[in-house]
Amino acid sequence: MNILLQDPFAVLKEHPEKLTHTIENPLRTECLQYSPCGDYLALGCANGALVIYDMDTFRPICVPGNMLGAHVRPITSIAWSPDGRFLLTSSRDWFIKLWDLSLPSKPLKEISFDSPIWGCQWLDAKNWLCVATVFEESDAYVIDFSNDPVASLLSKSEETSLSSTPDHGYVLVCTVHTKHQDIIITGTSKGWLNFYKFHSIFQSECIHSLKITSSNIKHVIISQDGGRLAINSSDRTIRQYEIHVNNETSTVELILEHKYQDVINKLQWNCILFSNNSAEYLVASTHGSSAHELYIWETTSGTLVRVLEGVEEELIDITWDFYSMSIVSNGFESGNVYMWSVVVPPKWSALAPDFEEVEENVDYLEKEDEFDEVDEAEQQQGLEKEEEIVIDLRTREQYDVRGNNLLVERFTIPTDYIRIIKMQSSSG
Amino acid sequence: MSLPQWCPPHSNLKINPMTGEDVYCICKKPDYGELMVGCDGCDDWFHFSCLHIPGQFKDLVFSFFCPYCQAGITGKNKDAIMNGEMNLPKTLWKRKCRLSDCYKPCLQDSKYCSEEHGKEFVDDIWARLKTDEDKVKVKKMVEQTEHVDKFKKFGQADFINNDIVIKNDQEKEIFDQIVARDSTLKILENDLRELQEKTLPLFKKKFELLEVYLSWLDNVYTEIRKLDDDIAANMEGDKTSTKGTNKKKKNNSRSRPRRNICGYYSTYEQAPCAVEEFVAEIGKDEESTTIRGVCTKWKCNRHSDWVSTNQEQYLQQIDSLESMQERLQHLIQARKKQLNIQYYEQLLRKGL
Repeated sequence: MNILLQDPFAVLKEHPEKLTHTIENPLRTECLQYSPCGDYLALGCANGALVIYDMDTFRPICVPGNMLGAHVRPITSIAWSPDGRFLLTSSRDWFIKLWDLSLPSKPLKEISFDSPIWGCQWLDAKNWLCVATVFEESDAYVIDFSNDPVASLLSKSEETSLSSTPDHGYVLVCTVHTKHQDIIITGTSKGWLNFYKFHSIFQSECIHSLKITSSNIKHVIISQDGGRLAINSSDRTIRQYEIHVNNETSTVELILEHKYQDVINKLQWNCILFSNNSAEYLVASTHGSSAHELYIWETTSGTLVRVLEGVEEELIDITWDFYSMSIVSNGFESGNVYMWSVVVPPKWSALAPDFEEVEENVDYLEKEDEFDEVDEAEQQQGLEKEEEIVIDLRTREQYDVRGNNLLVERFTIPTDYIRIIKMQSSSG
Repeated sequence: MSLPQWCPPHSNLKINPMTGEDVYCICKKPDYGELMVGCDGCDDWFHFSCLHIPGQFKDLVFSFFCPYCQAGITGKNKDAIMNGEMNLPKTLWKRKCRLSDCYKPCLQDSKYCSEEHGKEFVDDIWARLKTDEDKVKVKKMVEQTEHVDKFKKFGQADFINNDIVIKNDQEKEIFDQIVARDSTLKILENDLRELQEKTLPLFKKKFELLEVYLSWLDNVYTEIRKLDDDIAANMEGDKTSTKGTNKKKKNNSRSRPRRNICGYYSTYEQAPCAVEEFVAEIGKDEESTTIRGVCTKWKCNRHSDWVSTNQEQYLQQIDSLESMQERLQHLIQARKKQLNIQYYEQLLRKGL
């Protein structure tokens, strides 16, 4: 039904509540990522396959690398370009591959390192820049895919040579500031958080560095508006900060807002994710075979508002589509994909607003002027006046009811008709 | 299968209790000599008219099953069908003669019930040819072959898949125009050439090089093992001289696992140096983890599994390239056939 006709409080729920779909994936999902507008869901599988599902039909529609050059080891991360056409995948087979979904049969470009890749992210998709973290490396890599792919360490150059700087351990995660696209944040195995200002692929400077904890930093996430930062570390704590970056003076300020812990079971968190815009909610998956839920907290008060249940296995990776308000997570044992979404009960009376649902019979009371005779000319005039208001049917609305931008460019994966025909003729 | 709409529910009635007559069919009426058919499932008899089967079909029944047997209500194999071990039976018909108003079954290996009807059918087609020109054409086609068996195979020859043999300039012109200048075919052929000459050999070479390097590494491993054994033997010698305190040491040397170096080498196109030379360098420099670019860590997390990852990578590439090659060959063949047909059609049109 038309979402605009619905009760706004039922529609505008800011997080999903019910398990609505399960996608069975025999290839075992290792990680997943929604396309920027939630049209597609990319699944990275244990055997290195990358499968893209169409989220209207819940069917796979594209398997990049089906002709040549798919990964041969589990995929560790997937990143969509903002226009939804290009995909970056990193894998345990030491490769980072760039895919163009208009020609998905083989990778557009690829680069190999000499150890497994933890993950990679776009730094600047327009200029083909991305950042990646590699197994047992002291720093993250910046990769330029514009020509032949080139990788360079986010060098700390002189600083590292000084013996006074403490051992930061290996870099495990990195992320890019959502508002200041030249700020890269990395987290290390010894609990250090480093902020870099990116100038060019061979030059970037460390502008801030601080020790958060003494254990591994597993995730660093930043809200869409760039005001909140959350860190998931293996000391079983999610720390949420308010972050201020001054680009001119290159200073970073962090203020601790909340710490989220499972006090009773002392669980670790597998994955964390913010909701859209100013990140009013934080969702996390729980580690361990006994826990099968996703927790959602309200970030301003730090209170737990919802536990997403219904799955009978541990959940790993999470991705959240804000257009359809659905959260998707993959199971650890079966590799299946679970989807929670907002279920809106159909309310047909909304289609005829002058009709009212009544609990019991009501005696109808005629209104004072209800059956008065109206002067026909006057009525005609009134109608004409109404008609004079020009209704704009062409301009597209910029925002949907949830405040998501509707004018974002959406890429549609082309249908490979030749392949379909060939498959049909070979099977028939 | 469920019962058809016109069929009443099954009843076990065999004798009319009022009259004492035997009753048959779905209508449960006695036999008045109407045309009937026996069911192969329940051995009951059924009227053609009750089952809505035209009487002309009486010679065409091969194996008949009544609606109840077809629905699995009655029949010899009812239980097996219920358990899903057998499929529901279905009535089978013989093929009817090709003449439209003849309802006799066909002869073996024929489309007609008799030789006469075959002749009648062909005569009818002949009579329908309108112009004399058509008649001449058909006559010519028939006379192409001297025997009917050859005529049957007519048009099945795969000359259309073969390369065209050009006899004169005019034919060459048409050939150039249609076949030689076809861009789709050219692209396909180029793709195939590049695949066969460049891409595929490249990956095969890489795979072989990796194998070569691995055998070199194997030699290194055996050399290292020899060295280890030598050291162990020496220690053994030492121990015999100082009995008493060596018991612990001895255990140590025995329980020490035989681990190999990681051996990862980023450019394994050729072995870095001779095996002896390499082994001699091992252990000289305690600090460094590489010798001439080869990782010499005893337990290397970083490069763990590098051999099988690389091998799988190449094998997968070779595999997909080979299937791509096959696909391209199929496409080229299909395109050639298309073009050849176009070529011959053009020849006919020009009357050559």
